Amino acid sequence: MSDVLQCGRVLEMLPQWADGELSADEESWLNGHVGECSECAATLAEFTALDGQLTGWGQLMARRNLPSREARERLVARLMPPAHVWNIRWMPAGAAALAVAIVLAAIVPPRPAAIMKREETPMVAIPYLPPLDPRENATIVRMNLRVGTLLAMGYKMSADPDRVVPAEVLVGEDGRAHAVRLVGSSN
Amino acid sequence: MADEGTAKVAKAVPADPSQVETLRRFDELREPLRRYLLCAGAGPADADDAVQETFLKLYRHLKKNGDPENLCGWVFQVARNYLRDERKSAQRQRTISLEHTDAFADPRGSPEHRALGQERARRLSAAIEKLPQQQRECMLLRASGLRYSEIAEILGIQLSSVGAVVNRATARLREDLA
Repeated sequence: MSDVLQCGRVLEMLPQWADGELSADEESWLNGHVGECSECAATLAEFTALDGQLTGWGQLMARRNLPSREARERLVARLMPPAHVWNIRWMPAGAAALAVAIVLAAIVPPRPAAIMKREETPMVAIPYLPPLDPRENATIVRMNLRVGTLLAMGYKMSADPDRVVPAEVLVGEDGRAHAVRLVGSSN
Repeated sequence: MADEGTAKVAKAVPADPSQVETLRRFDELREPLRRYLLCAGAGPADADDAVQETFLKLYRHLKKNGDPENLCGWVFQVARNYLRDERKSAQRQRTISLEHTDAFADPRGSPEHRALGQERARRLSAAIEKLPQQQRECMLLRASGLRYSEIAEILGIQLSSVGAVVNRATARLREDLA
């Protein structure tokens, strides 16, 4: 093989050499040629120096600008279809029904407190998990959760993230939590 | 009697394959893509936005049964276009410039070490900016932490040709950084 062809081969091998992807034979040939050819030795040295600078530059930029931890959760939430879309055609009817309900609530005397149903907040679906199948046997588990955990699940609330609050978690047959709600006076 | 495990699988909600593939690609490419954008001059907030928008577009692309070939290259191309479009705003351009300068400082070293590192990075960045497109892309993709085989795939060239591209870029950078 002529010198020109051999030097050309070195150039072709450089990327794989830099990534440690050359076979033992190829590496041995490259080292042998570079030991004899000062031009290729200089090329290899320059390539190595630039490669090191580029890699170091990228690492420096990444260290200096850490990614936000919630980026994945944010993307998952945006990939999920909206849970419910209001149909604007039904808004006037909804508003009228709400007005009637308010009037009735004002004129009908409230029942005694002892027989009132316990007030419950609705379950909030955890956005990055598929919804439960209607036929699935889900279980509600009561547990104490950190506010930070609830926020990560997509629960909207303003409280100290380290505070622990009682909550009910809807657990599917797969053992994963699919929805959550606060209970008691922690709302 | 039906097997309990089979019944459970039958009831499970099928996952959206486009969503699964998008998240898999996100986990794989998010960090190099972010580095690429930062090295290309984006500020941290713009880089995060570009990553989000890119993977949303990838999801829509997969959902519409778009071309599944070279998705890695597709992702970097979309991110690059997003960044270019964002830069058209003069206000944003000023923001990028300020953030970019600040981003070169490594907070861990001494002030002198930081200043030297900042200067070296600034000169390298400016020199890379002046390279022809293919060489510039190759340098930025390498800085993002990708292997040369991945870079070859993204650029749509043979791995054996990448060495020649880098060699030409090295010669130009040597002159510029001398």
